[in-house]
Amino acid sequence: MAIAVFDDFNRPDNPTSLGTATTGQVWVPYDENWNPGDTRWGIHSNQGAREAGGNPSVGGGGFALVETELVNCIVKVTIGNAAFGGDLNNNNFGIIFRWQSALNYEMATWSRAGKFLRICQVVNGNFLCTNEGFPGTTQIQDGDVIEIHCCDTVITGYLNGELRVTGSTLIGSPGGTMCGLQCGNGVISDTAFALFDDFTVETNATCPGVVTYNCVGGACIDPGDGSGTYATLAACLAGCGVDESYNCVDGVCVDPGDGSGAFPTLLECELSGCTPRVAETQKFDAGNGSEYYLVAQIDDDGSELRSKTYKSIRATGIRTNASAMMYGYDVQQEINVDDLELGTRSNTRMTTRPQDFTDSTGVTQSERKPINVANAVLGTVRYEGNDTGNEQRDRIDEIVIERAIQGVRR
Amino acid sequence: MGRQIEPRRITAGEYIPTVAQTGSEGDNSAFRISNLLLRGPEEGRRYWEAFSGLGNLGQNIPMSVMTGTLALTANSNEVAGTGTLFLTECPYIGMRISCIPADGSANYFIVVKRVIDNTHMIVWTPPYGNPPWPTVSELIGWRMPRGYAVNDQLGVSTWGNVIKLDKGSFLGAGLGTFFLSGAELGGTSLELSREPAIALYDPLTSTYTVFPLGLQQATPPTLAAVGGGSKMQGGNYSFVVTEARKETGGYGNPSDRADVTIATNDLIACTFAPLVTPGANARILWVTTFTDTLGADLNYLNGPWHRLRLIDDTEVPAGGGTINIEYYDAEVESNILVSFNNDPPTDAMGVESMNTNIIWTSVQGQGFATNPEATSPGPFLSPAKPNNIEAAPLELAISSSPPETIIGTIPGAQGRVYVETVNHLQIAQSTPSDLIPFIIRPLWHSGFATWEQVVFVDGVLYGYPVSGPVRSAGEGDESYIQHDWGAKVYAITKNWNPGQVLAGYDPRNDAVILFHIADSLNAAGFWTTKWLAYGIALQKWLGGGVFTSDIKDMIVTGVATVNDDLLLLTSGRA
Repeated sequence: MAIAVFDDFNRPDNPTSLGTATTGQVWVPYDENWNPGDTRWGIHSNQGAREAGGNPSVGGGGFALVETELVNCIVKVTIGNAAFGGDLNNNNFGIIFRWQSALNYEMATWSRAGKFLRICQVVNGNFLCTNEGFPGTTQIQDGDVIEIHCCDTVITGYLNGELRVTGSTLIGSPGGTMCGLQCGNGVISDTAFALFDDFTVETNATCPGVVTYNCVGGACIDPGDGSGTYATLAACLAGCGVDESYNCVDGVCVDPGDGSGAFPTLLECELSGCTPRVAETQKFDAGNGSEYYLVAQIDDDGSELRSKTYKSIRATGIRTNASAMMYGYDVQQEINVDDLELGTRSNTRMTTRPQDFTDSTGVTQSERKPINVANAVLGTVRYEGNDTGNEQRDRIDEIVIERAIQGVRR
Repeated sequence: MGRQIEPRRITAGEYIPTVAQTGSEGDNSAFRISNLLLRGPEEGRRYWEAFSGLGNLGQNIPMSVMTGTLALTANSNEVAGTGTLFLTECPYIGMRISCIPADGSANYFIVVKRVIDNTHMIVWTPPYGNPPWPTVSELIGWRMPRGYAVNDQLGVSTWGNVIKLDKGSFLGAGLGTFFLSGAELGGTSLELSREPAIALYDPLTSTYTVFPLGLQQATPPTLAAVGGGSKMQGGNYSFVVTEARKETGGYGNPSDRADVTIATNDLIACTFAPLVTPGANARILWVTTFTDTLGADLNYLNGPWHRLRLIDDTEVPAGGGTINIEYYDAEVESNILVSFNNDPPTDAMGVESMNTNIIWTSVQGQGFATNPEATSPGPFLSPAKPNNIEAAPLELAISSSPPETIIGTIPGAQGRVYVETVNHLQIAQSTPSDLIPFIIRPLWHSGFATWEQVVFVDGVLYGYPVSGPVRSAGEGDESYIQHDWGAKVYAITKNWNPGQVLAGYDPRNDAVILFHIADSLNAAGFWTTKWLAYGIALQKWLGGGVFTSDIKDMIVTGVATVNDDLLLLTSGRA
């Protein structure tokens, strides 16, 4: 899908104007009487906002629209104040699409009263909500996403990706190409805002005949399958003729976007030595400590089958964040050096968790595991610690593992 | 139920990763270690101590970017270049290069094994398995610097090395900008190249001026007899002059002769032409004696010429001038005679000092089409003349034996320099002869992949040739070569790429450290370096560890012992 319009509303608060979308289109606000220039649309906490209030007899409330140049499209928006309008309102907030004029447009709104998504249209000034959607048991929440797919006369609506309404409309194509936001009059209080975020309009690639564009060799080409990068020819032409170029800015190669860079390619910019790469001088064994570990072999069966149990692990020395784990391996299986070093592929983990050390750590009864494997078993202990930040280095003087034998099985 | 059995007691001992996996090993040894070192005076009193890690000295040395782009092929040790200049920019075996795409998303680390031409080279690969890169192109090559001790400081350059002279000047050859303790020289920066250079120190300003080493043949003076002297007897005399540099006392080849006839007690007015050698600031005058004039056939005018004295630019400016000369025969008769083989040193990779004599290394190799005179790397060592460090005539150069490209040199003791070649470790030993200042013979019959693979400690050589860890007595007696020195750590080193192994000596731990650089990629996608430590006093493998970072490569590209520290250079992608 190619994006035609996107707005994350991330700009300073403004009580009277939505300003310009992230992709550059100018918002045109309308009041509840379809008069342009409504000053109750604005920016509030990085969201599109509309004050409560308006003509309660008109279900649509206020609108804010942008030009998309698309008829068959996908429109979606995140709802920021799901409680706006209260539960008695059937057109709390939603999406306007295919706006031709105040007399002909379509919209999809959420009904808090019915907990459903509904599709409505105005045809020659006549308002009709033709599709009530699928009633749900859960109310819309802050952060939920309303999404509408348009393909000629077929409209489908989703809430958080779940299909909530399908139907057909009379307007279809050709319809208008403006899309936007809708909110009701709001009845909770005059201080509440309808809030919207991440408004997106993109081509509907699944709709047959959708036209998109790629910039190929300086020309705008429709791939024919809706997969183009650009949603409109105008957008493609704006970006297609500009060659990539780069400037070295503070050791980073940056494309100025207008073809004015000093280097024609990223590679040439890097080859100029723009990115400073350095070698650092280090002194060996003169740092602030390190993570360390030691692995020692601790047991085997020899040629007999034995059942040994490990009762405790004791380590003396200076330790910081130290722990130990014991592992068992069937040496007739395919184990490698890394397995022995890291404790992976152990077929008998003799402790279920690393044993953090105090002066003497007992292996709990549930963790005392017998070695009772048909083939020779190699046992290892892995002791690790981290003395980073200490003035004194950790040390290991001795590791002692208490063992018991449970019997001989032949 | 069950009965108590002997506890398993693991006490500190040697790091022995190469053992049978029987479980009965390890009462006093470690099977695997990371960042721990064995301490303690004797058995029964030992412990393992955590490694402190690396201490950053805050000296950042810029890496130099190569011309053109490089391409690698999966499962191949061949590197192809587009627009590259391998013969000029990475001609030496063992040079280390980070190949990074423009988006900085990876680092394909390579070590030069053989340069075929400007756009093709072979690199070192692991002894088993395939090299760790896919087929990838348009890579940017970053040459990674090496480090070396320069008296009591760390010297760094892209390749080659530098030594410090007694009055503070530096001599060097190689590649790249020379950094001393992380900074370029004040005044004029020393840019190393195949052409040996000198950075002359001015104690008044604490700055340096840099010139190619060696002086050109002088222009003959003009002589005239003038009155006012008191020493000289009437007769015919002949002078030659050599251009000189007063800071080094070095001089070039003599001019054609100039003759003069004087009367008794005349002075000889000697007019010098301008000096032609950049940085030359003196002349040495060489003269014949009255005694020579007693021959009737004037043969004496063809020499020999005795050294009279050095005349610097405070007496006669570099641009030329006249000075009146007179002398007694006795003043010059016992002085040295001028020689005609004061040629500047030829192309070289580096420089060493043997019994205070300067030796240029890896010279007299084959040139190439675009620079047939570029004769380094090569199989020869070329000594400077003992009394003229700016002259290194090729007639004194001695080939490695057998003649093999010299990869690196390591200074030893007692007038020795160890020479790493592609197939041997050779030993160069000084002689008392001026005509044959040293001899070279093979010691180890295993070659090397890069420069920093041998250390000489307390009379013993420790090294990592392509066959693996080896050590021997440094006197050169082949009967003391120990090929099983690394047997206990074979499990760690068996898959090491010989081109990626460096050796260093750490005085603090009194240990030889082997580094396998660019050992593996960590979870964050950056290169690590694995290291092993062998204790000289304990004669045991002490332990090992890994240098790793989540934000940058930790490829060790330089090792140097400076004073009581082992200093490293780490670099790559950040």
